[in-house]
Amino acid sequence: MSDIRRLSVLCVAALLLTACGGGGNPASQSTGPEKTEIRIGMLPLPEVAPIQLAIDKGYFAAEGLKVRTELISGGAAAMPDLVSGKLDVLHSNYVSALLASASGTVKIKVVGDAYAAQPGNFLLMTKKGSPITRVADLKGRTIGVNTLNNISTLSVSALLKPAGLRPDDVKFVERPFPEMAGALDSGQVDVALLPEPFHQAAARTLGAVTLSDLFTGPLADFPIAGYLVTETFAQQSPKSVAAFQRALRKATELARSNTAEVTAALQKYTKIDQETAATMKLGGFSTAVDPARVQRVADLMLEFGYLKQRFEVSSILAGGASG
Amino acid sequence: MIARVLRWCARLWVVPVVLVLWELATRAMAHPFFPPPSVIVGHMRELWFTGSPARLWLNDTALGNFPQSLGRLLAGWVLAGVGGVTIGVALGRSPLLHRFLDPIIQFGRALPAPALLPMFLALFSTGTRMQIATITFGIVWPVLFNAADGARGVEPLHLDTARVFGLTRGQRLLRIILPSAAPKIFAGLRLSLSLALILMVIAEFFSTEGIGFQLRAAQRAFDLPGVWGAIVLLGVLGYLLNQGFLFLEKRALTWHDAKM
Repeated sequence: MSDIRRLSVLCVAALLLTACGGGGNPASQSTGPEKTEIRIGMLPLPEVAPIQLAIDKGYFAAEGLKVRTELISGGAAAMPDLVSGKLDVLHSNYVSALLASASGTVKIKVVGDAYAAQPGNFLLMTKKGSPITRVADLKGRTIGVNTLNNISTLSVSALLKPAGLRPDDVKFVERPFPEMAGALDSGQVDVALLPEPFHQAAARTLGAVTLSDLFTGPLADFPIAGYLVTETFAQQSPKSVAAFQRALRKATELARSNTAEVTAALQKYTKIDQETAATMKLGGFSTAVDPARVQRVADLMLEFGYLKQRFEVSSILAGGASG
Repeated sequence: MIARVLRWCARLWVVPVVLVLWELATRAMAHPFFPPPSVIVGHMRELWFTGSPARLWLNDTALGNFPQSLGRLLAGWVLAGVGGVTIGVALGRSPLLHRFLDPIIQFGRALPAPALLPMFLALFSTGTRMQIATITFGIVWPVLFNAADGARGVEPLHLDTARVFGLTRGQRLLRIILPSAAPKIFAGLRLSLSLALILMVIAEFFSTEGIGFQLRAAQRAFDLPGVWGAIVLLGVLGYLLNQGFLFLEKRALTWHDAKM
């Protein structure tokens, strides 16, 4: 605790110093963001395209924010970096975020929504010629996910239920998304959970076959991920958060209305080629957190034992997130 | 006698003192990443020790993970021991072989086993074979180098005497070279045993069961007492393995000393 306290003291001291340094213009001091340099940790997925757009189009700069991005392998894996202050904003799936929050590990605030699932965004895929042709065939099989105990494992659990299977009937192993197709091809996993654009690449280069869309039926329109900050950050830098939210919302609106802008932005932080980008089904970008939808995630987590008791998601939604 | 009992007590009372300090420090910090030991132990019992006394209180989760982990660790260690001693002794006794193989062996030793995990995964897929391969590759080097060193340092006088008495190559190996190299070989084996535990955990991060898998799953579930439980378990396991090894080593080397 003392380290974090010391760190936050340092941060406050640094802020005071910068505030003093810029003393020539008192007006900008009272309206500008408290922290002007924001580090964002994000997965190399299309759903974070608005961040890249906001950087490229100068939306962050217009709000007085200088944003740097860092690629991560999963929300849970990067959570310690958020706690330690190495990252200011974390792109995380809601399951990891709620788990971290409900366990008391870190007090977080959701400051924005990233993506709600659209058909074809997330697929369960098998190798060409695999004997697994129905969800019911998954009994005893190994499923590759990017992070254990996250939205991937939860949604697979939900998908298994109508087929009469329990989460214990399958085995989950961790592989980063970029390595997943290779793991499927070499037999390390029987089934791989692949988001865009990785499933297009797996289908094209390896002939991987779709077993099921992940977010269908009861999981249609499921909220996938959002942007988190620590509660401390939200309290100490409310203007930075608000500035981030405005720029993000503007970029998200652009992403929703103009697919060409998204495919161009993708080239900057992923290795998605133009051809793949053209076949992707984009459009789940979300400008605001829907508390009722996020509550669905928490309720499903309760059903599958991820949470011991009901969790009220409204307690972790930051002002302006659901606006 | 009394002095020995007192020494024994002195060694034991350090344990509760450390535990109490740990408990007080973590309670004072109240940091979610550092739960107090009482919470950790309680959680460990909940996780693994709710079984019947007949099974040493181990429950199904424990029995579904511990024996597998331990089995892989020991299998990798035995393989590395046999391979390391065989190659090491050969290298130690043959300058020609040493000259040819040394560059390759130095190259192999420089490769960190965790960095080779993706390759082992591609070769052996997820599972026991891949884990044993990772462990064996990572820990064979201390045994190999120590065995080579030990075999190289055999008293020439002993070998000459053996030759005079007409001992065959096999007899010389078993009666002179191996016993003489034994202390070094045991030093290498002991070092590799602790390395084996580390590599077991790393390899199991990419698995579907085992102590390493449970550690990773607990991390991902933000179950921090569970993470600490696995860490404590690994510490205890490492201690017990080392104690067991020392016991065996003592017996083996006493026998060797008496015979020499």
